[in-house]
Amino acid sequence: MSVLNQQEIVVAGMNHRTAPVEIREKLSLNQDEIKNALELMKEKKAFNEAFLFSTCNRVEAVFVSDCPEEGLKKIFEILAIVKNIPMSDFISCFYKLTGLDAVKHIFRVASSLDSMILGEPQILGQVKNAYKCATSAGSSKVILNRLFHRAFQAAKRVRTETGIGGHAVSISYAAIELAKKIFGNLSNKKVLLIGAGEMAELAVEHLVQNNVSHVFVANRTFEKGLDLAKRFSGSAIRFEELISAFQWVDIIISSTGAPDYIISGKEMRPVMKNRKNRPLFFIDIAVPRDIDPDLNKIDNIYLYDVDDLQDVVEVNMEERKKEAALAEEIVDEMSKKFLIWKKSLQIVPTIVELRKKVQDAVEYEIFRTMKDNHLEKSFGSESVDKMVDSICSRLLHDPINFLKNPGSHRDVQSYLLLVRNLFNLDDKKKDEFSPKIIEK
Amino acid sequence: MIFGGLVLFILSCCFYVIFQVKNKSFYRKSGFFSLCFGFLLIGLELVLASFDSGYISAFGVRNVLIISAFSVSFFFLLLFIKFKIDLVGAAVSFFCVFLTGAALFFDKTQYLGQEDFNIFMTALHVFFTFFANAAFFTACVIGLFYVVQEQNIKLKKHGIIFKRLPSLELLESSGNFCITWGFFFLTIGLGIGVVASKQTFGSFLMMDAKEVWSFLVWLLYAALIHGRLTSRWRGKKAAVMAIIGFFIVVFSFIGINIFMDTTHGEYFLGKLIIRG
Repeated sequence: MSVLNQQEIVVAGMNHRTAPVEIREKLSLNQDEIKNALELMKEKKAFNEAFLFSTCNRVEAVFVSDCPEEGLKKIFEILAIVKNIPMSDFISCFYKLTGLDAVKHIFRVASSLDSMILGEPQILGQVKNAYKCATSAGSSKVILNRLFHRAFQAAKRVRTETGIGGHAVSISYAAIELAKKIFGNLSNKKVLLIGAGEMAELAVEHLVQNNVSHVFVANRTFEKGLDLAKRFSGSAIRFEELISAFQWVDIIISSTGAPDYIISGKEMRPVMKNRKNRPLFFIDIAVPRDIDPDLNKIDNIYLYDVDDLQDVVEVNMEERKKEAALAEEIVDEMSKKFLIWKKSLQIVPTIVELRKKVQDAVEYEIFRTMKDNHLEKSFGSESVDKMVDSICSRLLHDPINFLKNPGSHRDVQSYLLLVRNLFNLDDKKKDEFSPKIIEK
Repeated sequence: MIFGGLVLFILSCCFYVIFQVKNKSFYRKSGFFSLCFGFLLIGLELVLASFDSGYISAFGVRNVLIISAFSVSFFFLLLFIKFKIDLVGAAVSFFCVFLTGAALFFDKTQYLGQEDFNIFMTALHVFFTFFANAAFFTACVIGLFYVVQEQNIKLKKHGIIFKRLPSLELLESSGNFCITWGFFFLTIGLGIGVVASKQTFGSFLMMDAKEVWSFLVWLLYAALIHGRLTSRWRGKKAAVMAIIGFFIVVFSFIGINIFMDTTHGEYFLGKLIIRG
């Protein structure tokens, strides 16, 4: 009985846990490739709805289909065509999830519970972009639309109701959080970058995003410093001017390759006097360290080296894991609610057919009565149509309510079958009261 | 009225403590509003008591305790308006519970030694000095938070207290605000007191222990403000000074009255009469 066939939600995907980076980079899809793949999926007609999502750590295809196995095969074929690689290269890396598992997985991905860095905020934006792409390609319809809107809601709840995003889990973010604990607002603070290095530059980038007022760069090679300063719209200073620069900056990030300390406690005491004891935050990312650890003993100077920051990150990671347990509860609750809604969808065609059958019968009888009494002009008027609607609604109110709420212990499928048999909805001759027959 | 105030302060204290544990804004808001209503109730109690007795309720142990609670909660609100922070909420509401609870044990009688007292001037003197005390109390609590937070950052301890407390800069500027206003209120309060003393006793200064200690407190806070302005006392040093300063304030207000015979104790507080 085709009308009772369940449309299954299927996830076919691979991520950093199931696929090595070589496969992930081969299969990674850009925006145009995703659009092409979605078009191919529409052409294949194996999917009622489809969605495709790709980041550096994962490729996920979500589709709604009556025959999931066939859909799965076609997904692999399409990926092989779009990326021009043999299916055998990647097929073993893919996992397949259906039903509650699939819904949960999508909610977990959107909420960043399945990410490499737990709770990272970028994933939600990436899922939203992919969803936009699917809607503009017309491949996301009733079920996927609802699924992804609920996924965004779940992600929002996870963000607001748990502390999963509240703890910095990268060294550069941890440094910025600490700076905020010292200075509060960073918007009027000045930053000095000593040396260069990927992690230090990343920290400065984050500080710039937090609207620090100015960035100074000091490098042993002045020209290199000039280039870096240009990148941050700041200014370069000569290495010899370092100590005097300490008087007007607030945050110092050091990452040089010097074998010994370049800043000692002795040098800093008069500096603090000159800067009227305003707080100074040193972030020493260099190994070996650039800054004498004794500096931390001086009032209003705060010093964190790379190990201190790493400790902060590890503690924060543990905190995030604790918060993730709360987030899983939210995801569980919301995925179950979604499945209840999806289950309710299967009764819709039966309700529509039932209503049509009753409506046709009522119209047929009214037509006959009016014709016998020479009242045919009135048929089709607004008041008669309203009457037909009212009779149908009154007659079907209780059966439809029963179908919609069959109770938690009863099987909707068996009741649907019963109703279809009772009203003979699957009989080909059911059109006996159709308007065409009425016309004859 | 005062009992209602006490109940609201207890509620506020409970809400703020729960907020510290659960970190839900509902508890924070409930604590804040309970404290506000408590403040209004005890303010009303002071007004009604003034109408009852026919003169401003600023004398006697009971009234002094209520004024203390009133001024501490008033200063808390002032701080909230200025900095949008209520981190001292738990401490303020706890202190108000203590003050209003203690006030319940004392008689309503006000003790005024002489008939030719300038009640208005003396009441103003009382109110201003208590507002100053409230500011110093708040500065002390904020100073305590500063020391704890500074230690957390220095020693790299990032536990729950580190997360709950705000930035050092915010703590420092709010502490500064308290000390500056406290000093301003104290200066006016002492000035009015000196004038009232001349009118009542015929001399600007009685040179009793209370006056000497009050002057010492004034000097201490003047030095603290000077230290902050010249940036010699900043950060932890200033916070520690604010804490020490408040202990000296407490001694000059309570200790002096208990351990020494002073005009203030004799005329304005009278003997401690406990009900029943």
